[in-house]
Amino acid sequence: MNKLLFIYIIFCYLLASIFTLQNSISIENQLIGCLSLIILFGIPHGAIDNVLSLSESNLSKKSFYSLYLLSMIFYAALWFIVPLFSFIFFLFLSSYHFGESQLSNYNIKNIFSKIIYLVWGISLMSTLFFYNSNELIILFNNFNDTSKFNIIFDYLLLDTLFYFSNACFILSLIFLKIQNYINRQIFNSELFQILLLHITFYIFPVIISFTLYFVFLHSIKVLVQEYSYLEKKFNGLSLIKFIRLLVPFTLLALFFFILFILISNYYELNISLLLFSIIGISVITLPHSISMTNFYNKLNKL
Amino acid sequence: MLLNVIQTIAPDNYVAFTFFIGYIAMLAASVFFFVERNSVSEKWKMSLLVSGLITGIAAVHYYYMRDYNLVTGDSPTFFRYVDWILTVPLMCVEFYLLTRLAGATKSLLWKLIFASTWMLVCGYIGEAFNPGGGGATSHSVLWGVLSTLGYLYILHSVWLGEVAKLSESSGSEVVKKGVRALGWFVLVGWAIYPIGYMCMDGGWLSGIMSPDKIDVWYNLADAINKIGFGLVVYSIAVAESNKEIAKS
Repeated sequence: MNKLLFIYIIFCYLLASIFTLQNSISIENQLIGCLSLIILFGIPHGAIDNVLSLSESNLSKKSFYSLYLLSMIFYAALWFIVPLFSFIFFLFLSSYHFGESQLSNYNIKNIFSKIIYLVWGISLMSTLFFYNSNELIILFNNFNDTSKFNIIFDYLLLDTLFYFSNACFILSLIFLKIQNYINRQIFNSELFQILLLHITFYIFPVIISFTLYFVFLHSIKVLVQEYSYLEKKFNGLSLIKFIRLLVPFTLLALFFFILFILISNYYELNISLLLFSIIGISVITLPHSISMTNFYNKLNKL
Repeated sequence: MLLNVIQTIAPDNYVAFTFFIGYIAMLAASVFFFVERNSVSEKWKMSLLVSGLITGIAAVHYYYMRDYNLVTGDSPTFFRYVDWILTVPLMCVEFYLLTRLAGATKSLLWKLIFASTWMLVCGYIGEAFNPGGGGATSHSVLWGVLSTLGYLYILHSVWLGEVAKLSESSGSEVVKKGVRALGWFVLVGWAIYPIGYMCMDGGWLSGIMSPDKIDVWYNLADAINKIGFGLVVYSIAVAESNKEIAKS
């Protein structure tokens, strides 16, 4: 168990106490708490893709920003042409990204590593959806433009994905252990973590469940990896300087999000806040995932 | 009288069944640890004595608890906490004994004993006395949170704090692996207790697991945690004793 997992467990106990005391937490309070954590840790973890990608790279600043923006524009356009496909692609992309972030530091050098990353991510996402499908169906049915995505939360599809991906992940873990890619300690730790995620996703509402994972087991973990990489690269990078690096693009992302909320309050827009948030997150996730894949390659070479 | 009671146990009374199993298993484990104490070197005898005491104390309590449960049909909360308040600090003593050779001080021992006692006293106050009645939760949540602080302190110490660091510096792979294995007992095995606490009447998880069934889980968890804990200590003691014999 590492420090982040320890903090994750503390938060689980804390939330369980609040739920016992109040029986439930209103959706508004859930959103306030979760958004605060995502703004504090979630957005910043992707706010230095530029610094990470440009270090040890032949890519010029101009080319990097052009490619980053082009991929975002391309994906945004795809959303308006084939929304359902874009949504499914987003789920797969996020799954791969989460799996890569979870397992990349074990430096698994075999041809199946990328498949294992995807399997881990799919098992995470399908577990989240499996235990919270009713809540998600209600949420997506709230808006006309998101109700068509409910096809994803079909019970049969979710059941199949849930059991198949979790079984595949456990088999992959056993394979990695037998082939000595991971030791017993990592094997136990990964097994425990997936069990903990199952319990969390089962007992807490979907927004809290996802935020707990996304903030503590993904974003902060990545931030720590980014800091330790940059500390080595720029000898003696202080924490203050690192935070300063995170600020500009975090504020930029927040600015656009707040701008949209303000505009949607004054004008009748043809897009719901939920769909806008999904599109917004997905278009950032595409270049971020590519940047992170490059980052993990660099990290493993160190 | 005893035979009459045994004959009236329904075949699907898993609570009574696990109380019996728990009692016999703990007793057998105690005999094993006390007898095997002679097969390890001098410095590991204390560890095996403590292991035997843990399961021995639990066996006596399980003997009382099974009777109490059979006669009243209630959950023996009082006896359970008396058992835990004696055995859990002893489990913490095991951590001290294992890391003593790597330089563990008496202060670590007392900190662990204090944290475990705190955890159990607060848990008992939260579970046994509820001024607001069965459904009220503010009292149990307050004492539950206080109790959890003790648990988190022990968890932190074993995985990330003093105990973890001492086992790393012990220079013995066997001790390192052993402390890690005991850490898993604290992390996974002991998790049943706060879950059980949240399953009591009015608790947040009472809908998931009924308070009647929690005794089965407590009994199974107790048996695994106490006997398993002792067996890990026993395997460390045997391995380290063999090493000493090989050296001499």
